[in-house]
Amino acid sequence: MLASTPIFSPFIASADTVKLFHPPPGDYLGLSPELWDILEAVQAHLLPTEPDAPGAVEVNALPYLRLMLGEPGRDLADRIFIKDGVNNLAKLAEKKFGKNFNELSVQQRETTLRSFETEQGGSGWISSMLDYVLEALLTDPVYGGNPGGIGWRWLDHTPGFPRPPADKRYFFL
Amino acid sequence: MRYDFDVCVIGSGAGGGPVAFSLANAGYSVVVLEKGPWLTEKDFYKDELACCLRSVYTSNRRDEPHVVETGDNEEGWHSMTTDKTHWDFWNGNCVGGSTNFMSGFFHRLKPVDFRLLSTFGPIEDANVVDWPISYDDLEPYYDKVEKEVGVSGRVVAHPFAEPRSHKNFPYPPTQEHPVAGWFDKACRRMGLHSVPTPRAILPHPVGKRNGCNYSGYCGAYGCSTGAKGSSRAALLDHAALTGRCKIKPHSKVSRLVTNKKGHLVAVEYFDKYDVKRKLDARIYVVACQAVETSRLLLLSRGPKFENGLANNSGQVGRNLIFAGGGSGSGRFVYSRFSKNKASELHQFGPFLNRSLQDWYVINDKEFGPKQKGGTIDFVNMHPNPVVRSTRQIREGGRLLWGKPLKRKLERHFKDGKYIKIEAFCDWLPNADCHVTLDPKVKDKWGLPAARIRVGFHMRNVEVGWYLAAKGAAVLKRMGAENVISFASAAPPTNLQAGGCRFGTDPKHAVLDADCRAYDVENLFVTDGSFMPTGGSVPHTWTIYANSFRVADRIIQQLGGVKQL
Repeated sequence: MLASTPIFSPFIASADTVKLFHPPPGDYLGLSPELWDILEAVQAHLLPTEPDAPGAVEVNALPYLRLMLGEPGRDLADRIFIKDGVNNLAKLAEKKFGKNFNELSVQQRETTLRSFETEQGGSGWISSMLDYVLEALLTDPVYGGNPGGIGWRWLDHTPGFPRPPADKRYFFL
Repeated sequence: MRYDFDVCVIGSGAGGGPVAFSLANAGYSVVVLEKGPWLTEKDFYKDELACCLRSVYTSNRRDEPHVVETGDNEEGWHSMTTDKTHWDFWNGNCVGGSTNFMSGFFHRLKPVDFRLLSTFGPIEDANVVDWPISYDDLEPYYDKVEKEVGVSGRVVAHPFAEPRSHKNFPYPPTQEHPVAGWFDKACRRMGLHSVPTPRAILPHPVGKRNGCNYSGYCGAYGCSTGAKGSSRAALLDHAALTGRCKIKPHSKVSRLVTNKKGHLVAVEYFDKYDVKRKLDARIYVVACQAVETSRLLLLSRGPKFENGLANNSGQVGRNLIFAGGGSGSGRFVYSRFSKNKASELHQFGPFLNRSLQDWYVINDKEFGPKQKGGTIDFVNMHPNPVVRSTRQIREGGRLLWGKPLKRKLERHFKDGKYIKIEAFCDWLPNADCHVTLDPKVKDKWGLPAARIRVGFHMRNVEVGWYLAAKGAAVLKRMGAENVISFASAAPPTNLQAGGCRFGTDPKHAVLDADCRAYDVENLFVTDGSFMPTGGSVPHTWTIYANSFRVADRIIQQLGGVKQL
């Protein structure tokens, strides 16, 4: 059950520091560890790591996604949307290459995602995944992404001030 | 007879604040009912998620939907519930309302705006009328806003400059970005009159409010210093200090109650725990922003008001207007400029603060007969990095990701700076722009949602294109590349007015010249709903000014300023 899953621990936060949220072993938000692995791989494909430019891994995109989807104010439909999308993508990878998405080469992942983009709902799902990755890249580090402002530094971006402390994150207002 | 309060104000934004402030200072007891929480400077940070990506400062559209009707030319009207769309008519669900999140580009209306019909004649399919008051009636109150809310700027002479009772603004301009100088130079060469944009922002501390800290994040963000002239920081905080103004957050008004004589006798509201409560006052003031003000009146049926409060003329909800206009942008690529110029471009924090009003009235034979034009504001692009980055993910009808997306992000963020054009013209009132109650969709309290039809007049779009193109020419002259300009028929949902227009004929107006309801002598409306036409500027300064004006009428009606 998505709705009854114990979720959301943004409270692992003192006044100004936030520890990354790692869920307990097993299913989280109704997604198996294998599906979370696929989400992580999709994120890495959408924003790949490069020597001089951070990728999804460096900006903590997966913990960020977990935090945002687990946030109690979040519409249940948003979680279901991500869950259905990753299930469909996994099926497409099996159909196309007979493999788990994570076992595919970079080129095969690209082919699968481009094909998924043309399926009903596929483009919306990928753009939603891109939105979360870009949020992890460029929102305040207090939300767990963009550690130490790595995304801001990459894009020469000047953040505003005062910056939000942990106890004034939007879900506490 | 004893009342809970002398005056009950519903809504705490630009329409509610001046009434609460003035009445409390005049010795009367006031209650302000605000649906949202009471956030303060201690809650406002430069957090893009909070301001712009989640519904934090606005009502959740799942709980409080609107229904929007858009026209698709031949097939009639198409309606959608806003929770399933990008449409959002909520703008500030907290004490101070949307003034907390405004950019505060403050322009007065001009004398011509009060007499559009008699100056330019009728326009087919537009319900243009003259105002029942003149610029001279409102001028003292524009002046009052400069002082009480805090407007900073520098007065310059130009062909459409409006008369002022004080020579200068009470506060000097906020810090200006070096590119403002480039703008001035381009305008001089083009024979245009560069106008420093007045801002509702304090350049230095005043009382308990601090001056601007030039963080570069202003519009859409709550102000962390109190410099921005929100109704809360500038007025309600002071009203509360008198001890005579009670501000009740988390109070959602559901109905105004009238008796058999048609007199308003109580207001019903839901508190934080959704418990229904009631209070009464001698005078009631509605200021919930245009759409919700019309909705509340329509919801408030009574023995003498079968079609909604103050609606025996059938006019409530009609002639809703927005701000018409156009927009555009230009990109200044660092590598095209000298090292010094590039470093000027690079500066981050101060405001560009420039406007053009050379075409406030357009006298251009190629464009048509002499007609009303508008204002062009030039602003630094909002810095919001997530919003800007997510705009880069489409190219050629497909999604962009991987290294090609990363290269595009680098070009967008690192290679140059963007300046935006925001052009304002009249949104011509018309029969297809209005608020009614939806027969099916309800909010979480079970109250019918507002159904908003957003028909537009083609003239808006033409004038918007015209003005935006004029702005684009200046950006090109300044050395911008990729200059684009355009206008759209889509209404800016943050700039609403009308729906309860004031006028001299009760058959065609909801309010009299003092913004008192024609049918209900103890009901006033003080947000932008009163405006029969909106002027070619953002509405906020005019709403503030008119609310101060109406406050004086209410004080009069209650027996004048009390000797304390």
